[in-house]
Amino acid sequence: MSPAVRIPQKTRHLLTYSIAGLLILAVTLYLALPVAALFFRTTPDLFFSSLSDPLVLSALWLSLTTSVISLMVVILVGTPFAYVHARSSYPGKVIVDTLIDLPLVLPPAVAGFALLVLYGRMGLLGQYFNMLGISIAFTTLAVIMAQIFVASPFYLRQAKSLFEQFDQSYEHTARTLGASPIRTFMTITLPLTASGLISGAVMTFGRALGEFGATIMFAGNLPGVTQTMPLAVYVGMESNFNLGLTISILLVIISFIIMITVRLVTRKEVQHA
Amino acid sequence: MLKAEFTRTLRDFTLDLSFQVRDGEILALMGNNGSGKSTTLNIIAGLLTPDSGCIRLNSTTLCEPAEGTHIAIEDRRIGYVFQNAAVFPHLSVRDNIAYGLRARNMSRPEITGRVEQMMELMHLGDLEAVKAGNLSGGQKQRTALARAIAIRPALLMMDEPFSSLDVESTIAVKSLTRDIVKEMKIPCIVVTHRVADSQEIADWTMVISLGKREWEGRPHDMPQNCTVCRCQ
Repeated sequence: MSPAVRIPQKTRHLLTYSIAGLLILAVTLYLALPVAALFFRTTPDLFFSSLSDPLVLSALWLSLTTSVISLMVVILVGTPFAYVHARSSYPGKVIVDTLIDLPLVLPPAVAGFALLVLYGRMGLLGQYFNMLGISIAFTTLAVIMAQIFVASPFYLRQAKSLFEQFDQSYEHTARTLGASPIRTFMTITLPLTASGLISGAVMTFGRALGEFGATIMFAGNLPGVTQTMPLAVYVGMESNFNLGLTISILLVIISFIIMITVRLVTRKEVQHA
Repeated sequence: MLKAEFTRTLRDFTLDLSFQVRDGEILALMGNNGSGKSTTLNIIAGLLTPDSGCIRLNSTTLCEPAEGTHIAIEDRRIGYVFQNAAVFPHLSVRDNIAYGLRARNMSRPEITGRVEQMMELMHLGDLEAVKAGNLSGGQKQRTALARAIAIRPALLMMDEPFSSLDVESTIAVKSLTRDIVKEMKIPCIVVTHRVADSQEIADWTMVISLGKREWEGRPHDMPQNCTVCRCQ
C-alpha cells in the first residue's frame, strides 16, 4: 500500500478559500446578473421617456393603490386575528394553521382559478352576488382579493409567531395596573412587537406588488382596471419591449427599497432586544 | 386584610389552600418549584379562576365561583410584581410608574405628583428618562415595585422578587418592601423559595407542597424537616 499523499497546509488553505470564493461569486452572479441585465438593456433617456407612458403610469398607480389597500386589509383584519389565534386553543386550530400557510405553496395560478371558481359569474358564491348585481371577477376588487389571498400569509405567520412568543407577564402586569385588554394591547403588546409586524407588513406589500398568476386568472388584464405592473411587464414583452423594461426596472427598484426597509427594521429590532 | 380559601385542579395535583394576611403584614409563601406558589398569586390577581372557594380583600369579594362573582383583573387594585419585574422596556422609568395611573384616568398634576413621590421613595430620581429596558436587575425591580405601589394597591404581591438580584439590591428591595407595607398598612405576599428571605422579610410563613399547606408559622420557627429546608 502506498502512503497517503499529504497536501501542505498552505495549499489546503488556498484551496478552501478558492472554493469558498467561487461559491460566493457563482451564487451572487446567478442572482445579480438577470437584474443587472435589465439596466444594461436600456438607457437613462429611454427609461425616463417611457416613465410617462400612460400604460406605465396606470399600471404603477393601480399596483400601488391595490397593494396599499390589500396591505391595510391584511393589517386591520390580520393583527387581531393573529392575536386571538395565538392566544386561544380551539377545535380545528391545526387546520387553520395549515390554511394560513397554504397560499405560500399553492401555485398562484391555482389560487386565482380557485377564486374564480368561487367568486366568478357562475361561481359557487359569485352567482348569488351576480343576482344582486355585484360582479367581483375581472374588476379592481378581484385584483385586491387575489393579492390578499396570496400575500397575507407573510403577515399572518409573522404576527402569529410574534404573539405566541410574546412574554405575557408584560400584559398581565398592565392588566393588574388597571389597563383594559384593548389598552394593554395598544400600549404594550403592539409597541413591543411593532418592528416584527412592520417587517411582515413590508414583505406582504412586496408580495402583493409582484402578484401575477392569481391576478391574471381571477382579475384578467384590463389596462387601468386590473392591469397591474407585473401584468404590464407581460404585455410589454409582447408589444413594446421598452415599456416592459421600464416597468421591470421600477419593480426592481421598489423591491430593493422593500428589502432595505426590512433589513433596517429588523436590525433595529435586534438592537432593541 | 386578605382572606383566601380556594381550590383549583392543576395537571398533577389540586391546589387547596386557606389563609389570611393582615394589613401591614408580610406573608412569605414558600415551596419548591411547581408546588403552586405562582398559581396562588395568579388566582388572587384574577389571571386564573379558582374552581371553588372565596377570595376577599378587605370588604370586597374578589372571586367566589359559587356566587358567580369575579371582579375583573384591572378592578382588583392589586400591585403585582412578577418574577422578571416585567418593566415595560419601551417606556421610560417615569412612564412605567405612571402607566397604572394613566390607565386609571388620574389627572395630569396628580400623576406627576405621585410619580415624583415614587421615584424619590425608590431612589430612581436620576433614572426617570432612562428606557426601562436599559436598567440593571435591581433598578428594574425597584421600578416594578414603584409602579405597583403607585396605584395605592389594597394588596401587594411579589413573585420571587430577589431571585435575580445581587446582595446589595436584595437588601435595598427588602428594606423598601418592608417599609412600604408597614406605612401603607396593606397585606403583602412574597413568594420565595429561600428560607433566609422569609426570615428577613416576613412576619408569617406558609410552606406549601403539591398544592397543600405543609407548615405555617413564624419564619424563625420553621422546622428543619420542611421540604423547602431540606432542599437548601
